[in-house]
Amino acid sequence: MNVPGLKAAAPGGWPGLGACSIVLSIVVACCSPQGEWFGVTEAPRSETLVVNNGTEPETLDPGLMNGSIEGHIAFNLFEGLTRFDPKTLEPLPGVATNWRVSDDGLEWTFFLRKTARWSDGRPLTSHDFAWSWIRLLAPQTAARYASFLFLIKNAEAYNLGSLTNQQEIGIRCPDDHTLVVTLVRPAPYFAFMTAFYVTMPVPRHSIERHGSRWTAPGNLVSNGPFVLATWQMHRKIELVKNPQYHEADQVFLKKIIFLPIEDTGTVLNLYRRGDIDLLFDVPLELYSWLRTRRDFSTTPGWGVYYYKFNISRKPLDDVRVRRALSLAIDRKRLTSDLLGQGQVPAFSFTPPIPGVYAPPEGTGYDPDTARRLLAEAGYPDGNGFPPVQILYNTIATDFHKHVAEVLQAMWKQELGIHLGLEIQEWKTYLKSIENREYDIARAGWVGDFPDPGTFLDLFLQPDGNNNTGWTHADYSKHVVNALSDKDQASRMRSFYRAESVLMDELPVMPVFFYAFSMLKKPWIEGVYENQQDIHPLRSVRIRRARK
Amino acid sequence: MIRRMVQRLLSTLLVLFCIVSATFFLVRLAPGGPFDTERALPPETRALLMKQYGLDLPLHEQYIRYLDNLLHGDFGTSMKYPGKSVSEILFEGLPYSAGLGGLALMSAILAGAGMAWLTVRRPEGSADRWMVRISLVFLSLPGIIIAPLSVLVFSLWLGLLPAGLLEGPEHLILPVISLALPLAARIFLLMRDSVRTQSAGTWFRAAIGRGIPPSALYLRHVLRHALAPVAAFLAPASAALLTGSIVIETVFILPGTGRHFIQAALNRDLTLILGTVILYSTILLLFNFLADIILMLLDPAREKSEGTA
Amino acid sequence: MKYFLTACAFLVCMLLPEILALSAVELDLTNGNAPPGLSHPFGQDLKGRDLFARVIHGARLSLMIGLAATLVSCTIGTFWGAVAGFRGGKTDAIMMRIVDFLFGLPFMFVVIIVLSFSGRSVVLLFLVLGLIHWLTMARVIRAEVVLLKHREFVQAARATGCSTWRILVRHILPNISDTVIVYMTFTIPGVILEEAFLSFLGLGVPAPDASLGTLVREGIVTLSVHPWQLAFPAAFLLMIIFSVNILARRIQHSLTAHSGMTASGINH
Repeated sequence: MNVPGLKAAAPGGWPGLGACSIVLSIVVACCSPQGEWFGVTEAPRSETLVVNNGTEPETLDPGLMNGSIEGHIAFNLFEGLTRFDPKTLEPLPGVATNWRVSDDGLEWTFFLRKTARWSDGRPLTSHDFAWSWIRLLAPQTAARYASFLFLIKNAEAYNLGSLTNQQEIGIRCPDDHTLVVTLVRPAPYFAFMTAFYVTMPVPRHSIERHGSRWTAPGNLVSNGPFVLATWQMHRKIELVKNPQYHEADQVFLKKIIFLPIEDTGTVLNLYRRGDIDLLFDVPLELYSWLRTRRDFSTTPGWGVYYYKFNISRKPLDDVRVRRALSLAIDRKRLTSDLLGQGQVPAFSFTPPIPGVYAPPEGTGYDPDTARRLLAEAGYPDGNGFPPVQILYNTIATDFHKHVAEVLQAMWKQELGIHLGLEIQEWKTYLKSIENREYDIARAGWVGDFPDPGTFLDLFLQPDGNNNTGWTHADYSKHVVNALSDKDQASRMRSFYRAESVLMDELPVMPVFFYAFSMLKKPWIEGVYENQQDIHPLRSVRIRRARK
Repeated sequence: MIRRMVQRLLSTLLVLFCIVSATFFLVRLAPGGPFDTERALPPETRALLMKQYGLDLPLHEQYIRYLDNLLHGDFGTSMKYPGKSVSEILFEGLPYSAGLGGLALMSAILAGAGMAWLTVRRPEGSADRWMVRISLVFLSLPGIIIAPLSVLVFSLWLGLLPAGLLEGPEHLILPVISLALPLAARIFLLMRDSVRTQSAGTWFRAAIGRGIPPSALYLRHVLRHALAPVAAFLAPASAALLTGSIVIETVFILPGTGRHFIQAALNRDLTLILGTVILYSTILLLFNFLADIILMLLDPAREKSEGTA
Repeated sequence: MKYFLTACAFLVCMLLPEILALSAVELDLTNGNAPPGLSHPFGQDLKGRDLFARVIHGARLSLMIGLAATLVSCTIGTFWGAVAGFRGGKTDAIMMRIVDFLFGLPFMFVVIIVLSFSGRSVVLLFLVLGLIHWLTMARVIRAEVVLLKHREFVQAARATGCSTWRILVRHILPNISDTVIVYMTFTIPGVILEEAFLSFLGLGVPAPDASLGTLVREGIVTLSVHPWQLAFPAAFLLMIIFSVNILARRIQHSLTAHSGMTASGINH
């Protein structure tokens, strides 16, 4: 018991179950056996779906959004040229019924449905899209995610202010129902991007009338399956069915209520009592208990949880130390025993994208090599290892703390080095990262579209979103080649080569690929877990349970 | 008396001004800004946002502009929630916080004073001793314990009351009780101790000896003195209560203003921080001012120097 | 005798972790969230750490922070209040306006700003808590000193040419020591609660250390399925605060009959 560090993994259930206290017996009494549902299972009375959205959205203006919280609402309020299949995330016809790509892959023509309307009955045309996209790119909008459209010709120059003529941006409207987009390089995933909230149309007539208050309830005009009914800050957002929606007959819900609850304990209390039908991001603390429930489902996502090494600081400037640290971590135990929400051990920075990209295999778990490398670097058995701090930030949950504590224990056990834990609150943490005032820091990155470029262009410059100080000529060469390559197969080969360099040098240590988990009540049909945590609720049904 | 009140009011305003100014400069000292996000913004976009909110001006100019807007009743726009003004955000939450806090305050005063009234008639009786013990337990029950435990017992195990949200009056029962219990205990102890001290005094015994009925004495003299410490305690406590309790709002998911004290500071939402601080400080100083006046009225002979609380 | 028992309880809390050589940091991932049993009387937490050890360590940490922060606050408060009350006039007015001003700032806001400047540490935490709590102390002490300074023995000392410092240290301080002690005992539970509150918000002691507040926070998350993870730390927190409150009342009764001397606390 006194040996610090980790006990060896041993199979075993819950010890001492027979000798538990009265408190426990009550608890056990209300626990149901495996494979059961969690909490209330009687179907609700109304066709209202109550979803916990995790926190208060910053805005409902798709152009200003930059997070999945806002996205969850946007995907139900608005609809882009394409829309996501709720299960596979394939782009399906949205406002555009079909689209065509030129042979060189640079020109995309979208054909819009003639019945498309705003929720106030006005027709929705290709000019609305052109206006919305140019608004997104206009410098004065200061859109957080404007770079999303930099794939379009001259978009970047216009956004950065070096080009002022809107006509030169690669967006044209030959008629009211056709939109032609010219790209700077071929992007097979462009139809995916036109389903994302950033590219959704916004109502020009309403924005010009109400200014920044156009998103207030009563002002907000949208084109998706639902419209905004109420928005009470920190209380709830209510959407009701939009009768003007072009496929209103396929929308079954009458109302959706989004709750902004951050406290995971309270969320589960409410879910258990049936006050909430659906919640995303199941708390880590309860995985072992919840993962056997039928409410629970999970899928690996396009995101990587990783640790940054500040390579300008000793001893992390030594690649052998970085490799030793990475090799000494048993990611499988971390993901299965601590996390268990479906996370996958990560040995590469880019998650595998089925049918598109398979990343290099990486180093794996090898504590012997790790100890050897550490000794070669001058720290045999961890002797003389300088003080190193692991920096992480506070969030509403203790997630980062749990991960950091486990990694700290693993490094102590395998390498004999004791790393400190340093917690900072969010904005201070961001500043420390930006100023590169850290040794090792936790970080996360979620890809925007199914392409390795959204991960690997991070390390083209030492700052920005990299901030490890690491750059590498070969790496940059491969990534730049890939980005401008027209041939999909050779693009992926270049990405693969680049990533091999990255995993050799390890300025960042991938820990695991995110999983998106959710709990849903038995009466909910049509919500699926997917790789990007995107949940269009337009074809969700509430089924009354049979008694 | 009037002169002292005016003097006090003026110094209160000065203190408020200092608080606003200090907050304005303090938040800028803290590392990180409102537009720092996990995914770094392009420098051009960040510069534009800074310009939109006037953060590109020299600090003293920003300060003067802020004070000028403030005098015109304009608290500015939130930096975290674009399109929402600070006053809109605060006044959306304040009714909930003030309503909840007011209910808790009223029930605590009623319960505390009622308990005190019951026990002081029979000092050192077993009722008195048990009441003191129980109230010491309640006094030791902070929101972070009583709120989740009451949810566990009353909504998860017994299924009697909702576990959170605000969909009807029954949703207020647990939050009000969680807020009111420790408060009621404190009010009870304050009043009881103070009454005990008074009734142990020689003038009290002399009055009893002269045949004055104790109930008249309690009402006319003892209670008056007993109110002084209660008023001094309640002034800051009710300011904190009415502007929202962070724990209660978090555990029971109530849309009050309490969360802004933390969230705005964590988000570096400069305008919302200032708005929240101004709201809180104004109410606090106002209540302290009122408490001072009450103390003066209760005991006009009270030495001036004691009046700072 | 009663004090002796309380003191013993404190000592046990302080020393028990050492005597039992319990580890509050040893992980046992395969037994995460195990319920109370023979080998782990309070069960195990998410990472399989022994909750009994965590609670005992947490209780010690909470008590230590409570005592240290109270010492800080009482030192500053006594000094500030005594000087202001004794000097009177302009000095007094300015010093007490500063107190008013600090009192008007929302507590949480100040804490977050201070914590944002540097990394988290236990020392920083009790300094912050102490720096916030001295305000009420300063007011109480000042009121005492104002009353005292007109008393004969102070006047006499003054007449014999004693320096201000000498009068403060030799004549005033011994006479307000009762107030200071009573007030200190009232401050301890307040500080412990505030630390718990900060930990509840995730702003408390840095990991892997955990105070009772940290454990309560972790317990609240799992409330609906592992209630013992909340029940044990909550019970300990309640017991500590309750016993300090009782102690404070006893000391108050035996030392003084100050009317209106009351516990203070900020209500969250």
